[in-house]
Amino acid sequence: MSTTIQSSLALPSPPKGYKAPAFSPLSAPSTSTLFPAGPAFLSHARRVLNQRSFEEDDR
Amino acid sequence: TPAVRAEPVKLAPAAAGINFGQSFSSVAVINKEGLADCIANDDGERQIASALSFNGIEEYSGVPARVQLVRNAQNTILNFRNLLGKTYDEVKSVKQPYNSAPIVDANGVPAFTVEIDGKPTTLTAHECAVRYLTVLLSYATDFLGRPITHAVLSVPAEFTPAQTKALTAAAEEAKIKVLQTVTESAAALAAYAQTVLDEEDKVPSIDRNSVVLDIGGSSTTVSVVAVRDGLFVPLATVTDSNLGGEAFDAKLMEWFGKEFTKKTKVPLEASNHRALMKLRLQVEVTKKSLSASNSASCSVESLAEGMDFHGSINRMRFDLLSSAIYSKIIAKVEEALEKAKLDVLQIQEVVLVGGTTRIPALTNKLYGFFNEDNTTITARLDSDEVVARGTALQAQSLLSADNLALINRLSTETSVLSPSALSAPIGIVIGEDFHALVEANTPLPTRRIIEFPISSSSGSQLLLSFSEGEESVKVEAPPPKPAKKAGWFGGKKDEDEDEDEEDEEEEVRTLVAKPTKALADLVVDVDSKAAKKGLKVKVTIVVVEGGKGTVTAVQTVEGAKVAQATF
Ligand SMILES: Nc1ncnc2c1ncn2[C@@H]1O[C@H](COP(=O)(O)OP(=O)(O)OP(=O)(O)O)[C@@H](O)[C@H]1O
Ligand SMILES: [Mg+2]
Repeated sequence: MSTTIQSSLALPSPPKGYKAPAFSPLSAPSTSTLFPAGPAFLSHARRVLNQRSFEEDDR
Repeated sequence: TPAVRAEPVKLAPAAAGINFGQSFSSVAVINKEGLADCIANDDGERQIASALSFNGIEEYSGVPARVQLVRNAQNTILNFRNLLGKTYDEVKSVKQPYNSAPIVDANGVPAFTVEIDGKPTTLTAHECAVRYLTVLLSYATDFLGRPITHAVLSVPAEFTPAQTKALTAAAEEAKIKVLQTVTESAAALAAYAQTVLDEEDKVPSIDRNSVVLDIGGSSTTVSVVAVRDGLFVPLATVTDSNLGGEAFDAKLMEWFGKEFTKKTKVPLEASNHRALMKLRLQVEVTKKSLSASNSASCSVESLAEGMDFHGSINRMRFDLLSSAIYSKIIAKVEEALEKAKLDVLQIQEVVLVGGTTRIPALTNKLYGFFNEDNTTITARLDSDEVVARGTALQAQSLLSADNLALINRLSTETSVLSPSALSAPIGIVIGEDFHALVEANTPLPTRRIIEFPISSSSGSQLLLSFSEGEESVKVEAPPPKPAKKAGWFGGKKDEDEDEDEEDEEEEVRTLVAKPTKALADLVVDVDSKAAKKGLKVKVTIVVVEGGKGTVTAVQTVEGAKVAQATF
């Protein structure tokens, strides 16, 4: 279960006449390597190898 | 009636973490409280010198073997760990230190010829490693009270697959089932990830860029690692296999050698191996005590021509002598940051590993290089124990069959080890400012859950504008000093009012993040009494392997409407 981060940021309210701007997709991800050590890696490996989403893994 | 003999508790296989180093080694096991603990040998040492020595029928290892260097150097074997997995040709130019046994060719593999029980005997590097590991494990067995059967071994970042295979083979021959090999910096980070903080410790952010600085006896390795909610992503590693504790020892040798000759008029010739070795062993002790107290003595009985030596040194002098070494170390850190394309301001943590990082002045130099406000330098876990402790914790988690199965599938399922990762941070935009929620270099899939406060002036809806961002360093000239007003009578400025010291102000560098492209907006309903009830807005960001993202926001109250968007 990922940890919940507490933020102190004050969220704004939508301005009058708010109109959503044009959106674009994420930039292309880069490739990375992981050190296979620590408990978080084992959870990551279990989720990926068993094709489980975070929600399924929470149950 | 005799007590019923309790069924002997089937003891779980004893698992250990082994840090077999080029200069010193350590073994850690999991104690009763479930904490990783370095074992001590019968002399009470937790760092056991990686040395073997043979004298007649006697065999020595650890510090007793290093003491043999004084009178029996040719039968003492050092620095054999880095020979594992190498051919003789690859290492024939390597000169063994302190006139210890030279490397010889044993049909193509590096070996040493020493006299054992009167007979010249050739031991390959592999055989030395097996002998030494067997001794190391006997210390662990005595300490634990039962044999070690399984272990995780740490390996240096620059080890090749062939060296790792050879190290594993040596451990297996020393009757250890090797569950896994783990890079030293990863073992150190894993140790910290599994150690509960004390109250007063600052809780590090779950997403941070960490510099693991490992300085041992002969080498320095700087690894820049992105730590992302417990996952470790190596970004860059640099190694100098000629920069370590021995460089500091050499400075002390020079200093005390001159002092001895000044006091006794007896020169310390380079050819006087015995005297130099006696002094070399003592200066290392002096160096270690200087890490604990402000000054330390250095005494050697009949150092040369029967003359005793009693010297002492304080930290200030030691730091002056060592200043060139400190700068080389800082230069290595700089090199690693450049390789990782990160600025000093983007490093939140420095983890100290290796015996030499116990030198207090080094931490001060590092704080001079890093910005103390956003970089924490930690050696909360002793720097020369943290690698062994991390591997012991890893070994313990692999005693569970399904964890071990996961690790064993890694060789075929490479996608687990090399996932894609965010190339830019994702965050929310408030006004002009970008606030990162998921950092760059975060491996996919990833999930972050963040709770935001609701203020009483929030009204009935809140806007969350998600965007990609970009971090950069803004460099500003120092704020101009207030102009000097002319003297009371105006006109001519008094002479003594001149700037006495032109303290050249450094430029001001700050890390700034700005939004680059909008990804999605969420408008989430909040009830006006939410603030009073201390309710929050819970935001969840999930990005899957291909780079598709989903964001949801909901007020933390039963039945609240969930706002969701994808990008
Ligand atoms: N308290 C201390 N203060 C200063 N130096 C220390 C201290 N303790 C150990 N050292 C030094 O640390 C070095 C050993 O470091 P470590 O145990 O990490 O060895 P290692 O990893 O085998 O080294 P390498 O692989 O680089 O040869 C030695 O030079 C030793 O003198
Ligand atoms: Mg080391």
